[in-house]
Amino acid sequence: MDRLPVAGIDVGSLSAEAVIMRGDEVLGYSILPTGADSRGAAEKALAVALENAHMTAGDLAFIVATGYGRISVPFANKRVTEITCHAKGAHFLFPKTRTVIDIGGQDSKVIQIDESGRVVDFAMNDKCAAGTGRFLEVMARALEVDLEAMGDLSKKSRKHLVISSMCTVFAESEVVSLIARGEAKEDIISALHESVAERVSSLAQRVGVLHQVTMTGGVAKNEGVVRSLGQKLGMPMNIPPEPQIVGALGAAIISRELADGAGR
Amino acid sequence: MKLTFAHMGHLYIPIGALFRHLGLEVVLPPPSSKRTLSLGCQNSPEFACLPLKVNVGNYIEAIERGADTIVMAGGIGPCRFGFYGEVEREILQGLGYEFTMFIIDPPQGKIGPLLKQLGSLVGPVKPRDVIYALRLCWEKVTGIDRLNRLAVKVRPREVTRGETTRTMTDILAEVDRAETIDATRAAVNRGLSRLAGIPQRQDGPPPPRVGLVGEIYVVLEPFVNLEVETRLGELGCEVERSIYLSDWIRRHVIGDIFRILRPDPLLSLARPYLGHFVGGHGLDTVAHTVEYARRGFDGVIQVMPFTCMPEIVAESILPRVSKELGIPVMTLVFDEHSSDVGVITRLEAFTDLIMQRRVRLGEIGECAVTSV
Ligand SMILES: Nc1ncnc2c1ncn2[C@@H]1O[C@H](COP(=O)(O)OP(=O)(O)O)[C@@H](O)[C@H]1O
Ligand code: SF4
Repeated sequence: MDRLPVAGIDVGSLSAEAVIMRGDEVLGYSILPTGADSRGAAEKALAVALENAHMTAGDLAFIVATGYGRISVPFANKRVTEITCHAKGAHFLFPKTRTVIDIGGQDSKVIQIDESGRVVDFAMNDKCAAGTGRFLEVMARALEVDLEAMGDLSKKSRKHLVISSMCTVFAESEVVSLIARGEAKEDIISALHESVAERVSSLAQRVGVLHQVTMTGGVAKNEGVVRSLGQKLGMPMNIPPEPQIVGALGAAIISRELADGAGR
Repeated sequence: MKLTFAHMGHLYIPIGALFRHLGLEVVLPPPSSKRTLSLGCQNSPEFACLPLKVNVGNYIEAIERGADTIVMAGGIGPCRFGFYGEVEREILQGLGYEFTMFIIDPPQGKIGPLLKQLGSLVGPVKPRDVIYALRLCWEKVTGIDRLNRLAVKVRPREVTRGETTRTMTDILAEVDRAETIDATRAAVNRGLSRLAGIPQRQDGPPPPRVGLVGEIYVVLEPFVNLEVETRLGELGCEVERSIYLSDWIRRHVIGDIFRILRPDPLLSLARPYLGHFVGGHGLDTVAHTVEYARRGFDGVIQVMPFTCMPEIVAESILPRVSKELGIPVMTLVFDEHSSDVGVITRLEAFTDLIMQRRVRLGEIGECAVTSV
């Protein structure tokens, strides 16, 4: 029955994750950069997660792939959209979740779910980089700071600055002129976090924000964005210990359901 | 004279037949492709509507194939469609192409000017031939719509994914080749029985029903809407389009010629939400969404070109309709940068959403998620 191990793989634009589960227990997981070869990344992510779980691919009863690159995972039994997977994953981690906010490398999504983790409504921005991890990456490069350091740096901000352009190209030149004006990096970074939070919260208003909110995707690792967004939404958010694997976790949960359904 | 016109879904089949039977040589643009789109985008004002850009691409590719006469329909109302013809003429002239353009204006109650316009295009023809050509055209329009209405029912139930779409391509080619009314009827009837003969699954709950509303060009043109109708069908949804060409012609062309301006029962459905004409099909979009909700559909998808004003008005009203009538609605906006990845993700998620809603409403038992 659901005692057999299953896997979920999430192939995103920047990172590929795999989660191995048995019952309600996560046995192993992995997070790797996607790179140019998404199929290779999926295979590698699975191999690493299996290794962490001390298993081999032969032990798996079912594999579900999700994410932008889900079509390039030929060895998956099924492919499911990341919206459904993030909903399942967030519900599993925080059963009281009603709103999931996923900010990844190239898109952001706001998903409203019911008490069983079913998707009730969603909105997605994949047209422009504003409000995505990509926006922050471009800005980190312009500021010559590490992406990972942005959250910490922004805590030191003393002065309130505003980045007015939503568009990445214009915002980048705004950043450049703020640097030229001698503004402190931490203040600029804080303004950038505000900008991402602003964009995502307006996406969120489209579907409506219900308590509790759980944030997923790589940008949830950025404390600055988490803080700004929490303020804008006027409520605290659940942040999973590994926000990047929530999609893969949801895929693994669906794997479990499908494996059961297949009469195993 | 080598005549051409822009693509819009399967319109080339009946319109091509009409002109050929009036004794004109027709040079069709090749099927719309990435090249069409990039030609159109390079040569149109950036903020022009997407349909205009694709039209321009179609015309350029038709001229490359030897076309020298372009026919297009004019429009009415506050919407930009009314200026398409003139703008397109100027763009193509600016590029140095030699051609004649006929902009056929809607009759608006007077058929005289229309006939005169057509007369100068077609030259002397026997009235009998004109009537035959129009009947043949109409036969193809209605035939294709009948085939389509059956195809959307078969597709979600097909045992072998893709079979309905493959069969339809075949059938439509046959309808296109039919030179007479009788041959058209035969091709359509053969097509209907071929579709009905496609193996379909019999068990399980009925497929969810999804209404497709929005701007006419995007609704009807699979190249631009990234095959939304086929994709939804293959995800297991039965799709009903709000616009079928035959209905549209009945309402707008025939109704217009004879000025049968009965109040449209459909549009009164929109009244609680939108009381006035907003150009294009904005009002229809709202009205059809209400209609689908009343008929118990599981969801509605609105499709529109980026910056389309009438549909933006409708889009802002749909959330209220959705909430009050309890029907999930999703809007898809298309432009030259639309990627099928984004559209597929949304369509799959929307299908999951409406299936899970049926579970919640107790219409069906627990079901698996949409997967491919
Ligand atoms: N340690 C970190 N600190 C801050 N931000 C991070 C960190 N790791 C990833 N990110 C952010 O997450 C984004 C990638 O998110 P992810 O969910 O992995 O994307 P995808 O699903 O598209 O592959 C990056 O653009 C970056 O902004
Ligand atoms: S209906 Fe929309 S796409 Fe068509 S002309 Fe008007 S604004 Fe443009």
